[in-house]
Amino acid sequence: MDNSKTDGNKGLSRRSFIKGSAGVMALAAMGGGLAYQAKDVFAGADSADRKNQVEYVNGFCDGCLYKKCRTRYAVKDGVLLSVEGHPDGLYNQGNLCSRGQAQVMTLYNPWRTKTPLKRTNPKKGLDEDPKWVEISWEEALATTAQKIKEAKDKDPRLFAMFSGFGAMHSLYMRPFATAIGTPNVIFSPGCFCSGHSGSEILHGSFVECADPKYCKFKIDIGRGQLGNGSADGETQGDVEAVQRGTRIVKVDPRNSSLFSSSEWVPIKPQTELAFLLSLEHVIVHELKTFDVWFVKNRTNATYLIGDDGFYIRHAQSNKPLVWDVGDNTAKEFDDSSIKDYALEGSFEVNGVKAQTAFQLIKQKIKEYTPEWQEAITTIPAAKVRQLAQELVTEARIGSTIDIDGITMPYRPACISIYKGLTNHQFGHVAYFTAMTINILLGAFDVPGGNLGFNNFKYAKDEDGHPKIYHLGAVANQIKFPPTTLDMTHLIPLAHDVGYQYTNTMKDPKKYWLDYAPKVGVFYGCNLFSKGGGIEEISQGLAALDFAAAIATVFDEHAHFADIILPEASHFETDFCYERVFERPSSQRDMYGPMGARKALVKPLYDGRQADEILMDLAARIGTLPPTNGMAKGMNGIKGDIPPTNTQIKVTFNAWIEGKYGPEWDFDKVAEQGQIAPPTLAEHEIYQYSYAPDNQIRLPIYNIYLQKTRVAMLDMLEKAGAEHPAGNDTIREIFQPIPHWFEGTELAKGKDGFDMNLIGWRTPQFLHDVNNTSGNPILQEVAGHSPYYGKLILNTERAEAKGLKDGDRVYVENQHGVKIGPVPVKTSETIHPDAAGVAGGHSRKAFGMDPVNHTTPVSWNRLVPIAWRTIDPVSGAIEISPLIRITKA
Amino acid sequence: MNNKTVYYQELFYIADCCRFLAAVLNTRPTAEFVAGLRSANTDGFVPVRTSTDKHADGADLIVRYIRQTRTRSPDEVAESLAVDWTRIFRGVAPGYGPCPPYEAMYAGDDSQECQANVMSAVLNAYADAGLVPGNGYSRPDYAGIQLAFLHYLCSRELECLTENNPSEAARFRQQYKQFSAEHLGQWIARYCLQAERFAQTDFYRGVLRYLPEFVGLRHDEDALVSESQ
Repeated sequence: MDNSKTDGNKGLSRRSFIKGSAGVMALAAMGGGLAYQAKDVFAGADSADRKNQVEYVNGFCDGCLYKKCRTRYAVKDGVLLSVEGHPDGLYNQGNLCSRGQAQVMTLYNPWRTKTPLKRTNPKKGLDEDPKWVEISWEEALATTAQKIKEAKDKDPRLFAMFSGFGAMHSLYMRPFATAIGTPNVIFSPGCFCSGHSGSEILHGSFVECADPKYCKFKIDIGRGQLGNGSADGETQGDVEAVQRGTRIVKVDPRNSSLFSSSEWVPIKPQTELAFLLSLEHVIVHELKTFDVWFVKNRTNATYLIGDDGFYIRHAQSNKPLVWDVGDNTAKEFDDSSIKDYALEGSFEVNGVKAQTAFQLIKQKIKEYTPEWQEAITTIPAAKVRQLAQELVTEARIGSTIDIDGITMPYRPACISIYKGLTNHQFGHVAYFTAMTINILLGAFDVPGGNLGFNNFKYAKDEDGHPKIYHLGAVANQIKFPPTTLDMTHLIPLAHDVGYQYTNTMKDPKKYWLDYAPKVGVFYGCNLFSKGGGIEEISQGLAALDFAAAIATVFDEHAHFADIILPEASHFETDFCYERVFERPSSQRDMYGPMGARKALVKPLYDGRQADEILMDLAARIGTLPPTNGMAKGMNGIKGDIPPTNTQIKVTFNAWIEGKYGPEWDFDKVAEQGQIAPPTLAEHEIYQYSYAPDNQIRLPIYNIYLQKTRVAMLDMLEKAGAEHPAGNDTIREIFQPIPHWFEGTELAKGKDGFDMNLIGWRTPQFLHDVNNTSGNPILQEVAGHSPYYGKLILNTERAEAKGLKDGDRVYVENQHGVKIGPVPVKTSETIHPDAAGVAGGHSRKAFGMDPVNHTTPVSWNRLVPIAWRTIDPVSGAIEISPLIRITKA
Repeated sequence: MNNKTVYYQELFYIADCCRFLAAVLNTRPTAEFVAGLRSANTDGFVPVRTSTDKHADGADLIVRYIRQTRTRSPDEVAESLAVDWTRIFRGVAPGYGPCPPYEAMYAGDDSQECQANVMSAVLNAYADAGLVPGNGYSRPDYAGIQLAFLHYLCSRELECLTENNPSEAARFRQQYKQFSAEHLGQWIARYCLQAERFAQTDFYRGVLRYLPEFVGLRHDEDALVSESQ
């Protein structure tokens, strides 16, 4: 035999190979010296139990924050094959969106975190190589716990928790941080959550939307519900509304194909407030047609206001006074003897001059004519008049509807807004203006109108207004000096303003803080993709002496960590979630559904369930009992959780049993995947039914801002301090009546800064939970859009600039950030003064997903987070930065 | 030395090599790992380059690295290797290192269907041999697990030959050949080519050059086997 015979494929002889490998062979011979045996890799030489058939396991989808869609999973011999909408899903009715269908890749994503890692390069920065090495769980947890404990023992404020939508399912994130004693839980989605503040004041609710069933005409501003591509009830409600023939007018800097069957009214970015003020002007001053009964009986428009801007109050009861036209005298607002409220006019009460709130509002909006707004928004004056007329006509003022035997106002027309409107320097003013119009129409929390979500019934304060729901709004007590990194004590209507830490971390003394956190945990957050100012965020994270990241993939935050604590895939662990808030939908839930899903497959790697990581850390730090106690309290868990519990399933069972009764537990819910909440009677969707007639007084005269302005300025004056946004700004912006003011990012053409950059989420990346932006399937789907990854310019405007499809340009904001060159795509679907970015990715970190890493248009990088560009009332970031485009 | 003995001896080498490579891919480098490498007698090794094949280069780089770092502390060398190992084999993040050596990522595409199909196929192959990957180690299509599986098959073939059970040995040999041809041999060269761009130590650079040719080594040994019997 010729042992030097060559290998057929390789042209290499065994003998030659072995000869050339001698050195390795020597090493190979001592392979045992590497303490390795095959048994280390394989569990054993047992015969594998293979069924060789597909099993279907019920569960629920976690492809977005809502997690309402019931699903079922095809599993074969330990391999997850696919996920599909459960045919009996109450919300999704067998459907599942692209995010949900792509979830298998969250399990098989090759870039998942796999085992704990330690950084060996102490330098931190977006372009620094962390030089990771794998370590044991024991080393990772012991090191992290020691660092947190050291901070806690010295000053609990030295510890900060950074979190976001990626940890919304966690029952232990906030309890863990709170038990440490830190006031700093920095929540990344908050940058764009200012939209909630207005709802909290006016609806006493978290969110709002147009009535999906009865609304016949709506003007959408800054809202793209259909664009989120979800399969659950909210989007279905919108789809059904369109199918029923609901007319939707979209007032937006860009059109969307989803609205092609309705009307698009292009508007210059950052000028929506002018349009709304003008719409209000036409209704009040030109058409003089609005729901007078509603305004008189259900708002504070009739309250008498003194020269100081505050209510004139009853001397004894301290209740706000109104003027009874019938008896020609002032009375308490809820006096049952009132014959008719004065809506307009000036009066004298106990020697004090007073005007009705409506009188003040009417005076204020007199100047906002359609012609005035045309010069600002580019919307023709005639179009504003037409839309105003449509609104008042379609609102059918005076009509009623009987639902479940209860008669309610029927107002099937309204304005529907969301974060595209509220995330501006004037966000809160614009919100209030839009809702004031709805209230003028009487289309507020009644069938057909703009609705708050249904499980929060109006609760009243002493002035008759809806009580603030929660999560910020006026619940943020103003305080000086501020004590938290997010500066909420100086941003009174802030929802979540975690991005502020980037300012405070860099220079705590400037913000009157006598500390700066040194130790942080990142869990489920990404300020880079949810906010602006990438450089500032990087500096803020790098300022931490130690950080641990509970992570499923290596996002930008993980890149700044010293220790990575890998979170197992939700498919590898038991998983439970309850939707915490709800929009009105055809399902009429009392509250969100609860989903439960058993581990579908064995763990591929060495990750752990995230809450169990936190429980383990708490045990090491010595805070486990209070952590479990707070998990019970903060999540409203009625069942018992043992103080030393370290098993998440114990908590799940306490949660489920406490809510749905002892006959239910995790395993039982998991059998069906989801347990639906009790269903409301139809009339219960409408908050009107809980406080009919004059039982609630919506504060269209925003007394909260009036109070806050005075208190804030008084507080700052006494301290001799200047608000970071400027006391004059506070004076100008904190006004009880919506009014126009020009943002500092409005395009006027100076120095070539003649456009505003706008961004929007695409259906594939809504919320970006579960790493949807790193999911190759979703990236591929998104890539089919010719606009994805490009700078979208209006065709004519591009031509005027000498640009065409495929040209490359630099994009620069007025704060010195410049990106590019980026490819141009021209379109008729965008306003000439806008440059658009679909998807909104901002990925920049060293080693990020190459798809994202090279996505050429980084909208977030150009969004500034300077005090002078935010809304100091709500903390909203200005999401349409002023830009200059130059050809590369 | 007769053909049978030669075959046995070479198979013994191949099994050792399999074990070594599996150990390299599956073991996080530590000071003990470094000590293990240093304990091997490579003093007499002289690289032989009889062709343009890369395996000799690979072997040379591996051995040179061990020799050249001998004066550095084991901890220091271990950290350098650990950084490199994590980057090359563990799939930290795109751009940070190569796409990790998972068959589904190289032999197919990154579709969900491909992931599931590959995962099922390798699990079936392991199960046919009575093996189940341990929980939490790595994906079943990871190159390290596939090498460990090849080592297992090789070892069993050697055992059978030692026990004079040629039919059973042939069964393991066939399993080895089939698995190597259908799985690791299909894609490992592409991975190694990509990964070498990221390697920062000669040790792993050498491993990445050595590995693909080693995996292809037994593709055409039937004639050799028949002559040895």
